Amino acid sequence: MSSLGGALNTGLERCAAVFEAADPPRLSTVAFYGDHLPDLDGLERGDQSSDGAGVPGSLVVALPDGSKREVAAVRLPVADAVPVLSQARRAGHAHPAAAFWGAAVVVALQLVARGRVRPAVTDGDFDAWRVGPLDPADLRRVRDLADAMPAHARAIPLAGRDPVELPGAEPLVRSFLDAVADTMPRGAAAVHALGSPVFASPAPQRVPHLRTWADQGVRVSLRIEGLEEFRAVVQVHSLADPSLVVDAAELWAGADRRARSDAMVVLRRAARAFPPLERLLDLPVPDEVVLLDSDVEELLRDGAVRLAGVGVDVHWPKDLVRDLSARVVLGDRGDRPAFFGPDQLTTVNWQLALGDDPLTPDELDRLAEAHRPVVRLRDRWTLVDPDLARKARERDLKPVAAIDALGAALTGVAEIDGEQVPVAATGWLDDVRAKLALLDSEPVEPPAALHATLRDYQLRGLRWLDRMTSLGLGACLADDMGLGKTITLIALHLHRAGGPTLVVCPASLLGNWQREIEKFAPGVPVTRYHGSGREVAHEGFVLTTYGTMRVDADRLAEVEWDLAVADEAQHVKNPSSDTAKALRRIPATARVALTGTPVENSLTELWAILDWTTPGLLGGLPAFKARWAKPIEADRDRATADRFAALIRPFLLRRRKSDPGVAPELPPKTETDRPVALTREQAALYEAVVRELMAEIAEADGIARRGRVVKLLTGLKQVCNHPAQYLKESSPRLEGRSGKLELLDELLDTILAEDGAVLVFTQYVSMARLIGKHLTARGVDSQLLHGGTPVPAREEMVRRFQDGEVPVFLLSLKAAGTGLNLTRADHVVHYDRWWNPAVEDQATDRAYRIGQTKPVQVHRLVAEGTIEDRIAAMLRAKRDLASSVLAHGEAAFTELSDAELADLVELRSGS
Amino acid sequence: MSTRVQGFPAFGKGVRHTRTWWGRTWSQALEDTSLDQKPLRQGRKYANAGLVGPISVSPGRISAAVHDTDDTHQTTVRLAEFTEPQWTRFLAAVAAKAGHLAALLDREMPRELAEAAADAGVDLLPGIGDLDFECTCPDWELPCRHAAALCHQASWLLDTDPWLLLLLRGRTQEEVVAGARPTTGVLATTAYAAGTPPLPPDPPVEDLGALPEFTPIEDLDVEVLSLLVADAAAKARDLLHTATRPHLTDREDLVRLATTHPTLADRVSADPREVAAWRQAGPIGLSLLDDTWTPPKPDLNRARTAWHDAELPPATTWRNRWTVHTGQLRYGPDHRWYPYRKHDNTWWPTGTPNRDPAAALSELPTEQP
Repeated sequence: MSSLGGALNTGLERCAAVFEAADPPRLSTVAFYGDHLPDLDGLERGDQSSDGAGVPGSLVVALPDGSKREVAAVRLPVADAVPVLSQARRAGHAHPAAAFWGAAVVVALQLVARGRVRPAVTDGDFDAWRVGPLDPADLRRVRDLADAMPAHARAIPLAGRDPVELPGAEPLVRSFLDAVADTMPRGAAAVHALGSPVFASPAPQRVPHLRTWADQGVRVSLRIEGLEEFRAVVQVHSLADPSLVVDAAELWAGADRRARSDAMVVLRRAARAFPPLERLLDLPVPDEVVLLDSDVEELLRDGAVRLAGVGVDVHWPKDLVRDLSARVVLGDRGDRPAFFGPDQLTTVNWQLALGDDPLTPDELDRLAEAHRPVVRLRDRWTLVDPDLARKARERDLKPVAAIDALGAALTGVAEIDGEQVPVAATGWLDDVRAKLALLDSEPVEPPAALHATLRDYQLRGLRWLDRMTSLGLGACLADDMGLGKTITLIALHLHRAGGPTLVVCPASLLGNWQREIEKFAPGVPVTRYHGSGREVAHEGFVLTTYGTMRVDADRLAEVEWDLAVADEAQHVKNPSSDTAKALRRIPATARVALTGTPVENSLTELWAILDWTTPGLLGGLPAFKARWAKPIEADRDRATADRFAALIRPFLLRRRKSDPGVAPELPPKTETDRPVALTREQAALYEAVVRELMAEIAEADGIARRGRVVKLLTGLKQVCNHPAQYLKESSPRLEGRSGKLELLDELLDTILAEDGAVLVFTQYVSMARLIGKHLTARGVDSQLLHGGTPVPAREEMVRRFQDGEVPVFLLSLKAAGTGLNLTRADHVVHYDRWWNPAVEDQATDRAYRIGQTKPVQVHRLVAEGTIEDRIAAMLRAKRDLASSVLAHGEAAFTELSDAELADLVELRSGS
Repeated sequence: MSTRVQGFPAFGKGVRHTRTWWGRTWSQALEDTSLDQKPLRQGRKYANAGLVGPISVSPGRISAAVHDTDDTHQTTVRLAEFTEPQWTRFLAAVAAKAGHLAALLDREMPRELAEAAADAGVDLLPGIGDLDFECTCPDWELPCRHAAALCHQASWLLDTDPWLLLLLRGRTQEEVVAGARPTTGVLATTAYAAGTPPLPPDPPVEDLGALPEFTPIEDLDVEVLSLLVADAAAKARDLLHTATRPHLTDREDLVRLATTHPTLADRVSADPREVAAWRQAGPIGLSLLDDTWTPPKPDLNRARTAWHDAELPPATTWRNRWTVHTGQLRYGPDHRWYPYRKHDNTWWPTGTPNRDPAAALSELPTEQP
């Protein structure tokens, strides 16, 4: 190729220049025509120029009078035209059309010099470089330039138009910029460097396969403009370059056909989602559409949501206020209800606010009367959802039950006509809400009649229980086992100093309740409503079992209970059970549920408990499942879970042993005697053994007598453990025959629910085997270590327990000699008594020893009214016998007289 | 989709019905055209029986092999392509409403478009007598059962893709979409009446921004593509300053690219000596690397005088090369001296050329003989 000197010398810059776009853009030409066309006689028409002076030919141009005429012309490929036009821009004598395209060359080169070119695939599938991305300044520049385009620069008439039309200036400028840009990165070196002619060689390359790569599709959004009259302006976003946003008008002016097609398909979908947009599809260029007020209302109602569903966002004008919101105000009028029964109603009103600022009644009236989706409020145009206007008109809503209002106040959300609406609590409701929010607000003195010092967290629990019960709201205390729920409840009874308290608990816990009440609140009447000939007391504590309560609910309902307590309340987790139904029939001023299991893990279980303590709070079960359980448990909806937590938080207090506020207060080791009643079978068997063997003892002397005494003691202990142990049954039924086993089940349920680990000691390998069998049947993993366990197996068991693989470790006391380190255990159960505290301590210390970081609870099971009970009492009192037992073990008993022995083993009722 | 001949697997065995209004219009044209209903019925049976082979559609024709009991026949159905003016009018009708193209892109033929085109004198769908049939079978009916079978299957094909109708009329989807772009024209008289508005000021030259990053794709080195953008930016900057565009030979272009983008030197297999020569003085520097020439006498005389006046060491001269030990000056057509230095028996361009041979020689380190 030669230099352009020839072209310049021919004076082409004096000619009018018109741009002829081609595909690919680099094949576009600039045609020069007019009076100053150089004399090109030496060239044959249509011949390729030999010196870059251009190809002579002809051109049909439109004339100022609207006619067309064929004129002589010289064509230059755009690459060659660039220097000519550049110089035309600088030359004072240049034709305005040539100077115009010269200015366009400068704009194009400036874009290229900034690296603003990108590869594209043209309509004809050719590889092309195009200018872009263009920023707003670039777009303005292109528009300004297009505005300055003289007619001569675009004089080629559009095909098929009569009267004669010329091309629009802006699309033509854009094609020209693309044409210039397409020439710039190419050349022989580019082909070599890239190793491919695609996007590198000036020769056209067909690359339909690169279309998807070059052009990654578009997203469409609507920009709403205007306030008096709304328009939806279509904007198209490049997915490849998210910063690239152009109005549809712009896109249709450019060369990006693929983007237009993509945008069009999206628009058609958008028109289906939001029918007012159908009017866009009737336009040649779907650039914008006027929205009627009714369209805007539809857009506000759900149009925008449906549009979002097809990927089209809606952008509202920035100066349009859009934070008008509605919430319901609860408890505005009236006093706090004395209790939260279903008939206690509270007022509900709509409140509309701009931001956080409630509208005045005056403004509400203006809103109510508004006929347009925009209203002038506080000197600003405000977008008004038609739904909000309706709320402004119908401000008062149907009153709701006080308990529902409380629930709404706690969650911050109310459901009105199936819609979730933010809630503001005022008046009494806000008082209650605020009280509930503060756990430690009202200090409570520990009751003087309580014979114990409450730990700090117990005192906090008492305050909380007091507040909840005095507000007429129930509560569920779900502290870990061992934190003293029983004593806290006793303190509450004393503090309330109201009427009688009914405690419903599993039979195995009756004894424990009675002992603790007698110990910590001496003088307070405590009766068991259990067994034959039972009478309901109307004072102090009345203890009953779930079974008895179920049978006698109607009798119990006759008493005006001040407090009803459900201990181990997970027993009524099945709301359709007879027990749960019966429990609901017993009225009380306040209800408290106690449980040591983490009830919050099962929402239905929690519902059952809270629906008893605080009826109505969580709504009916089906509604509860739909509103809370399903979104939280099945859908894992975080927001709903948070709202639910806010709702139940005041009603559920659960402290863990490991909580920072609790752990320091716990002693490292707590030992508790756990009295259990014998079952009827055990009691009968116990008495039979006493009768039979006492008779034998009376008839024997010396060694024979001693042997029989030992036989008696052993037999009684076995009966207390389990009848099956004593009777040596080969495949016994274990369920429901032993008070100890039932209590063990209770303890294990709680311990395992806490993810705890427990050591269960018994003197008898046979009993350990029975327990193991029983646990297996209940699906609880356990392992048994006894004297006969070989050392390697022993070590493996210890490892498994320490690694948390097995939560329950059964050990015979004899086997649990030295060398065992079982620090994972946080509970130790002594299923039967060795009657030698030193031995028991040694066993307990398996768990509680150096390296232990958790507090350890020791539970000693004691059969009530039996020899176990009596010896335990003696040990506590450290009487003479105790020291002799300490010195001699069971042998000490053999020296007792028949009368003493009879007194020791006699079965007594109660304690 | 831009290819002008498209093949489609035919529909297998099964009774189908034309679902769309345009498919039914097509079938109607077949029925109206036919003089005899019998081959039409047979044709429908053949179509339902799946006796039609793969169908090819191209401008003006649909063809397929149709299997009959005795033989397989090659059948073609013809429909006239639009003329250029017809296409112009039809595309104008498409372009009048954005929704037309949107519907077509959704594979729906808007009835309104066909009506608008008809108003402009262009019938998109065939009417009576518009379909022509050819078949290798000996039957004399028009259409024969084979052509009818093909027509039925074609109507099902059209149901699923109305673009095929446009292809039959002569244009691919790509071409229609491109052509249907609304050209917002301006009345010529109005454009001329606007006169010659003043040109806006030229934009300031700005620096090359961050190089674009392209999504990697097989067969195309996108990193080199980015460097081509940088190279184009440099060329554009030069053009903006000089308003001229150097025309380089391929070799010159290669060496130029290797010089400006050293990372590409290996890819364009540029010789380091060439790069050094280009760096020294562009195309002239490169030409002096291997070529020699005999400068005209007056130049030589001037050179000798300058050499002597500057008291330079005597040089061995050959054509335009003056050698002093391991240094050499080459005289260029631009009357400048280009310093070279010997390395491993090869002459390397070193330093900048100068009209004054003494200055040029001083670029080379002085070495005593």
